[in-house]
Amino acid sequence: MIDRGLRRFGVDPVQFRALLRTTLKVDFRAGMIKSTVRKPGKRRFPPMLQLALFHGFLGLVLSALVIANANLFLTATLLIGVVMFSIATSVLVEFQAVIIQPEDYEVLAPRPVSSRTYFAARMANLLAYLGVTSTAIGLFPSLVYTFRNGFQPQLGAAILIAILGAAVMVSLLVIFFYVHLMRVVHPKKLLRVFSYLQLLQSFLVYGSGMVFSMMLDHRIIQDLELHMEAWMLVLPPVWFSSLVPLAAGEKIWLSLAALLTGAGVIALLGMYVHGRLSLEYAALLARQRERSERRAPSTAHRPSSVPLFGRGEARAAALLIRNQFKYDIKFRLPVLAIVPLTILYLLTGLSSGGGLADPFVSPAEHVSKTTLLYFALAFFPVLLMAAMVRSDSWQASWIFHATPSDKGNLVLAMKDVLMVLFVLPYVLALGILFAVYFNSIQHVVVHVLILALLSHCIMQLLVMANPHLPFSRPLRKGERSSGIFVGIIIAAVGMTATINLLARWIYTSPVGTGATLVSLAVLTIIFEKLAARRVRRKAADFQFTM
Amino acid sequence: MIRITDLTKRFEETVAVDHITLSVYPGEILGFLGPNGAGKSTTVKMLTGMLQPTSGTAEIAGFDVQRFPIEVKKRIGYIPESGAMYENLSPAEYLDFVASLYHIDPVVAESRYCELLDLFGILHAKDQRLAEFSKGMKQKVLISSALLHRPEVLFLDEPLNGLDANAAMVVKELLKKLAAQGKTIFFSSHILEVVERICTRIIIIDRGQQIIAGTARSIVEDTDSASLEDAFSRITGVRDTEELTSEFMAALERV
Repeated sequence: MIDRGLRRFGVDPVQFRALLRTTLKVDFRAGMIKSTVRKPGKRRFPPMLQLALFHGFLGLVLSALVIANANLFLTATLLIGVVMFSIATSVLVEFQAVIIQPEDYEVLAPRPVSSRTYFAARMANLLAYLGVTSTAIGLFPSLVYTFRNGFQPQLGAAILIAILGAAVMVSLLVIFFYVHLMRVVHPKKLLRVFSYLQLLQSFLVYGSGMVFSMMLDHRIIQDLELHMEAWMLVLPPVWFSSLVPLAAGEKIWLSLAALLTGAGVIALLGMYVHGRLSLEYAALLARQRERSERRAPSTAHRPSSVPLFGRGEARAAALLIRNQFKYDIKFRLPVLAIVPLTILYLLTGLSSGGGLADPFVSPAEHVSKTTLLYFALAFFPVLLMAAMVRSDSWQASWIFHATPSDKGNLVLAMKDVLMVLFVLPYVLALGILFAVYFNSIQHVVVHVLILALLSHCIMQLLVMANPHLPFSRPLRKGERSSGIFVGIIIAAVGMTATINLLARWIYTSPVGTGATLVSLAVLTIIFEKLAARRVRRKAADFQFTM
Repeated sequence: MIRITDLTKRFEETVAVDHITLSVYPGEILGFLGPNGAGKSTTVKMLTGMLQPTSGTAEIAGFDVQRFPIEVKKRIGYIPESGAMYENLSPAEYLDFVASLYHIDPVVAESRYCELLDLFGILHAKDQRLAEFSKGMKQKVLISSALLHRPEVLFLDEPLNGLDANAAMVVKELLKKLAAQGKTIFFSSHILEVVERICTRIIIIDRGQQIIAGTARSIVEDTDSASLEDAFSRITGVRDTEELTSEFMAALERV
């Protein structure tokens, strides 16, 4: 029956199944590329499921909003708005993996595949992608809607359908704009812009928990109300969120009108996209990608050493990391993500007035105002280490295996370079900030010293837990985000507990403070020895496999 | 020199390299031939310490590869088939980076890589990013990186990939001169003409096993073939090409 339906639309069912099966295999298959430390053949968590985990976290945060506010229309509209932004960013950033691949043209152009069949397969693949991400985001909010006032499964189902509808519309909209944009902006430039969007998306995910908790704290969300009015029909999130009040039997006519508007827009975009998701479109993408970017002649890149890292593996690691940071946007952005996060967390701390208190004078006040700032400090090493390992240039890491370099030293050098080039300047910047608010410069120096030692301990623990050569593992859809997420939770909890302990009990006594400083210094030395031993043992098993 | 005894590599059920035993002496250029999937690259990866053998031993420049991998790597230069490099670096930065991995003094490294890049005619581009280079130019940088530390033994896996005729000629002459200086060269390639012209000895492997060894002429004579190409197709189990082509044509007509 399905085959007959497909044939009716001019789609070859055999080719359709083959194309869809292949694209789904690529998306859902566990990582088959063997890593440098895992035993050969050991499978990894499928990247698509990792993507689901990442979006699931966003859904979990958003479900707090649904719990806090009883207004169905308001919560559904906010939720759909966030989902639309998040899906649009994901689709934009991974457009050539999610929507259409220029490589398709090279593979399929010589084959007897019609554009219509290709379109159908691509759409089915896109729906699978959106299905996974939408379900992941919608799962927790859907459960909350279902059980918040007795058992109302129709509400849970409505929000899932609304999220999927919004995701489909946003994706079609992206396709609509993408090809026009590519005609005026070079794909590489577009990729850079989209990467900044991805930064914003990560920021949204990591920052959303904090923003919502702040809003809940200040009873901002609880008191908000929104009711469906005719003018709201121009708001895209309302086209889908109105399904939730409709499922609850509220505002039937206006909600129906909004839903019809959404469906109409999807239909219009679908008709437009029908002509775009074709092999000819893939060919256009391929041609656009090959078109050389108009750019100023390359500036000279003479090798210059990074202070402290003048020779051997340390020099190699420093040279590589510095250049990758300069030119590899996929490394630079996760590192830079710390800046907006810090500013936001800092502003949150300052929003209650009175500045950041001195932990040696007002420990409780300091802790309450800076907890989020210390979260950011704990995030940073995790972000750095995660960004450091995965890269598009991972295949070039064969050089580490074919040269007499000490791979253990390389991993340790990488940690040291990250510490000197990124973490220390960050801690020093925090120190400058503290100098504005603390009563004594001595307090600033001691506190910054302790923070630097703590950050180094986190780096050492991370390198012990998961040692990898720099830029030696492939980037796979969603993997980095989920890895970062787990690391962030552990580091943030540990850092917050330690700062609490320090401010409330240790900073009260000069002897205790001095003893802590010495203990942390000793701990760093012990960790360094342990890290060196473990990394060297693990590095002996590193193998390069394509 | 290179001495391999009973070298074997298994990937679960598949035997990629099956008890290979061979020696390559200083001053020799050994042509290592075999059809696709014969185990050439796996052998090279084991000899360069990038892959652990399942059994057997390999000794390079007097050091066992498994027991003294670092000592071996100090003495070898390797040009892999993939040729991947960190393209965000310039050739000068990449070669400085590689030199650091060999613990070569940066000043010494600079004079060496400038000399090598000059030899390949790309010295003027040493400060441009590798991402802007053509495939052939990248290959020249890759070859330079393998020669930077003046290795005793060279492993080359399809080193002429992407090179223009002039650069290929330079590499071939360079290899001959390096061999004349007493370097040991292990040359893995599909291009029979090049192997025939520059290699002093040839080994052909198939399905992980060594099938035949000798000079190009002796292989041709021993197999009663008209050329090395002919000998290769006979040895590696490809039936008479004319017969095979006829069968192909018949099969196509049947389909």
